[in-house]
Amino acid sequence: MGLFSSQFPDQAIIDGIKAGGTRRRQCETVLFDRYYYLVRDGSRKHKLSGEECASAYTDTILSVIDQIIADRFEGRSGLKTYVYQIFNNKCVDLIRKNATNRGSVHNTLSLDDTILQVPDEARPAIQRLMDQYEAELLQQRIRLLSEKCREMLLAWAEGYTDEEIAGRQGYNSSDVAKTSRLRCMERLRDFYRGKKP
Amino acid sequence: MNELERIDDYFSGRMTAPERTAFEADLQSDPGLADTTAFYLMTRRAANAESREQRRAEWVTRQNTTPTPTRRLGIWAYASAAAACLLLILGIGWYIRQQNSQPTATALAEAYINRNFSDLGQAMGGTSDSLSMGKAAYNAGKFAEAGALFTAVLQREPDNPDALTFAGIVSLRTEKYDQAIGYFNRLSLLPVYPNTGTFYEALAHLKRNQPMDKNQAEKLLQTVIDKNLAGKKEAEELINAL
Repeated sequence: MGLFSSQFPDQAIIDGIKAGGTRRRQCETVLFDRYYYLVRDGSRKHKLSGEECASAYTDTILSVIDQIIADRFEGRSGLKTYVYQIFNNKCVDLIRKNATNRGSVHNTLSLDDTILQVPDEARPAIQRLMDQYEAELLQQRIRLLSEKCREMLLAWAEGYTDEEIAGRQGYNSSDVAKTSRLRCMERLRDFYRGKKP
Repeated sequence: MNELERIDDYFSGRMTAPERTAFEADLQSDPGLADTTAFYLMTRRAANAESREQRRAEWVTRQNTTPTPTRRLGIWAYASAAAACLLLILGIGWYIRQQNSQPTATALAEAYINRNFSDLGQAMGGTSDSLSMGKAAYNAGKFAEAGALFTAVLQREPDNPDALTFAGIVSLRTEKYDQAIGYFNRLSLLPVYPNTGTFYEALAHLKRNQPMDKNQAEKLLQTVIDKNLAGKKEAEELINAL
């Protein structure tokens, strides 16, 4: 396996994740598989259970993917070092969480900086309104959507463009994909407000 | 254009500068637009969380169905390991071949001793002199008794070649190699023909097998060959094995 995985140098993985589509999925899986041995090392080093380390590792890879997509991985260190550092930090967070029983320390929710586009003067009000929404309930309602709607919203949240979504789901154009996506959001809003699916 | 589409255009960067300014102004004055914007942003966040959970679930399934990958090693690590294994196998093969194809000089010496010194023969006519009694004791496996009889003869006749030969052989069989070397050396100095002393002394050195014994045995065997002494044929075999 080692011989074959060397066919995927770091840059190919990074480019593949940025490329999106099927290639992105493949490269994410390659990235996940490549450093999975860290779970065993982390378990031994930090005296955490295999399950805890596997969870920390999964969060690590998701964070690394987020960083790559947001162009925040500058390549100053190798991908392995980068993954190792984040994984190590997550393991330390887990140890702290276990010691203090504070679940909030291990917050795996992705930091969505879309709100930063809102002007400073309007942002606090929007943030207050956002806080009134129950994120967990919204997530449950997303699961109630049709498969096509759900996939579309998830792809959009992952950063896929309407053009890529149109390609993936067989729509004629990005405009059609956009219109369908916005309809799905309206449906979600209805579900959230208590309308039955 | 409905509210959601307008919000989507704003966050996707599809608005012109005046449209953006107008949207940002409306955001502060229109509570409905602000609420829909909050919903839009929360949907994105919730969908992202859901997506991550799906990926996590996929990977957990993957972990359970595929073997744990090991640390990635470079191609040079594999090549070096393969080369080391090959060398080791060749080395072991060569060693075994050497061991099997060519018996050591010590093994040859031992075979010679076992073949020729198991029985000293019996004196003609059944005489009861000390040498004959010693040979009878030796043939019966009573090496201590035989040794005492041959030593007694040597006390009376220090240059008796038969007594020296037999005393040396007894010492060799009882693994008293220093004594054996002494007896055979004395024998080699006697003016008798044929004289097996030098050859037997070489055998004793090979059997003792101490650090310098191999060299010493080689010199003695070479002497046997050069001077055409008794045991020349066997000496040639042994020297080839050294």
